[in-house]
Amino acid sequence: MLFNFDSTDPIYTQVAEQVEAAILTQTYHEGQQIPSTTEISKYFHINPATVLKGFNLLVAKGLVEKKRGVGMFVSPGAYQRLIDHRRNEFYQLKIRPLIKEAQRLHFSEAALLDLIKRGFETND
Amino acid sequence: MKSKTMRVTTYFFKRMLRQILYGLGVVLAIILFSWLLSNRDTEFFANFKIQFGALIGFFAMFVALTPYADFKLLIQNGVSRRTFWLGRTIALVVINLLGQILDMILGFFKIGTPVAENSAAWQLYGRFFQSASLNWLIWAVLVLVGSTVTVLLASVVGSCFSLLTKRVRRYVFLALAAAFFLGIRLIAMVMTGDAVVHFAIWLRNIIYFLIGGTPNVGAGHFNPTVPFISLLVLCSAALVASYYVTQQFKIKNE
Amino acid sequence: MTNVGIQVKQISKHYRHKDALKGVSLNFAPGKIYGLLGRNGAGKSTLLNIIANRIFPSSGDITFDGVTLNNNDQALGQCYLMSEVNLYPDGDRLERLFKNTELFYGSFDYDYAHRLARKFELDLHQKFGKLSTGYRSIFKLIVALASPARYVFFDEPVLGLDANHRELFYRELVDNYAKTNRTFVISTHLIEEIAAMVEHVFIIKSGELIVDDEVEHLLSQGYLITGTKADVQVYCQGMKVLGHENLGSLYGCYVLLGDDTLPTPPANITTERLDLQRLFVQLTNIDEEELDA
Repeated sequence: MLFNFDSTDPIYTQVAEQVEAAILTQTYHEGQQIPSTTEISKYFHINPATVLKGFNLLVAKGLVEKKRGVGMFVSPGAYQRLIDHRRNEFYQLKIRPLIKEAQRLHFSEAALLDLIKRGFETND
Repeated sequence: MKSKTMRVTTYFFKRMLRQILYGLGVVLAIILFSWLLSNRDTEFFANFKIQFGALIGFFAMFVALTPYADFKLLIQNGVSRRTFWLGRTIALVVINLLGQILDMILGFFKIGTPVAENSAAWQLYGRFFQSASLNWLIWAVLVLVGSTVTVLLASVVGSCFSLLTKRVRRYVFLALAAAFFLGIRLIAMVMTGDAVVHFAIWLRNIIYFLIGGTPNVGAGHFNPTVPFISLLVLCSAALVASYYVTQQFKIKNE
Repeated sequence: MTNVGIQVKQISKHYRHKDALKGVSLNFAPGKIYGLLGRNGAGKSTLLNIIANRIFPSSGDITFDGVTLNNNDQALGQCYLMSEVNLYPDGDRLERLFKNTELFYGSFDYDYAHRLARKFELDLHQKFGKLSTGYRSIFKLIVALASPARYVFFDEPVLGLDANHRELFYRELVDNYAKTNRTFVISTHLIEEIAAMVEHVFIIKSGELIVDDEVEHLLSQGYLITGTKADVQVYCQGMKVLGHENLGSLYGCYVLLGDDTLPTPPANITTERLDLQRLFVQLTNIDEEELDA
């Protein structure tokens, strides 16, 4: 199975993150049904209420939607929304601290950009 | 009766009946076996007399002695002590009475023994009234109440035993057996008049009072009123005692 | 506060040489999964036995929907305690024990029980007394799951079960919960295995209730703070410290925040959330001062 619960974060956030990860890798396509709360809770011995709480996070973000009596489905545009969200998060959580640290180390903007360029080139 | 009490009673009735029939089967098998091993006297079965009711009563007494195993199962199944006690007591009393009545019917048709003439109650009270049918009736009532008391007392003893741990139970059992034996000896001594000490006379008078006679009245003409009342009192006391003791039941760690 | 559910009020139990429970009060609400945790001899089994009316408390009272539980057939018929102790007659066949469960509880899901028996590879023609410890546990688990009781208590449910059977049991338990929404109370040593299943946790330490909390809330309070001893001690000032450990020059401190949030740690300090198992160990460790005394 695809899910992996091993951090000490609250379980419901882990549930949401795992589904998000699956949407990002396009394991779950837009419009596709995701596993039900019962399936997930049964498989991983997680309290159904906890799984539901995680799903509600996803619904609030507009990533999945509930079809009454059928189940949960990945919302149209969820992939793009998630990418946008992650990009914003990337800027907030990764780029800004990066710049802060770079300034502390007296890198100029150009020098930092050079470094980033070098990173792209050596990356295979 | 509430449906749960009904279900518990039926359960006990069936289970006890099965245990008792099993016991009867063993007894019959032993008799048959000993007949096969002996000279296979054909007269044996013609003279064969067995008091089924007495045997049933006897086995019921044994069943009454072991309530703890039943308690374990019922508390596991969400049955309260009160309902457990009620269902079990009703089943015991009914089975015993059915056995006694069976005996009386068999006796009436002379299939088994003519029970009445052999029974202690008949020998003590069987000729008190002028009317034979009245004597029969009194006899029947005394036997029924008397055997009920026996079963209930066994139930009280068994319940008390259930409160004890295994080790203590063993000692108490030995002590009780010894006391029972000595008691019987004492009563026999007192009643046959061998003992002449003051205490013995006093005790003898009490016993005579309880069984409703005097040394001067011949056996068979004893007055059944006092024994009847004392049996009823004993019956209620046994009921109250077994209920009270059952309320103290708890699951032991053994 | 409504009266719905099982309410344990100030229960104490004294034995000749030991106080097994000291004034424990807690509630079990309908439709929740509870964890009842404690070390060996902490008093978990005693508490469960009192709730199931198998033994009596020295003082205190238990009510079911507001009515006292003792001698209460209606209430007892809504509870099932699966325990280590075997109360079924050794000579009875398992099928008969199913029948008796139906008789006394009023109903029993035979189809489900038979399905479970097949999954656990339990032969129902056997006599109870012939079963191994593991299969006795399995049989009792099946009865518990297929019984109609609205409150099911498990005292060491997986005793003698191998990993596959434990896994199977947890799945069936959650599945059953999702379908019936009954109350399950699980008392076990294998905390990790049930941690995500349990919504609310009670922790008993030496007969006293020390934690009565939602798992999520409890876990948001427990942290391990690491750094040099001096740094950690400054940072942890005013926090409730559960325990500490040394690893060379590294110093770790287990703390339980009240309802405060963790202050932003300085660069030389790392903070780490705890899982239920680690938090449990810290909460129920014997205080070193107690040992010294």
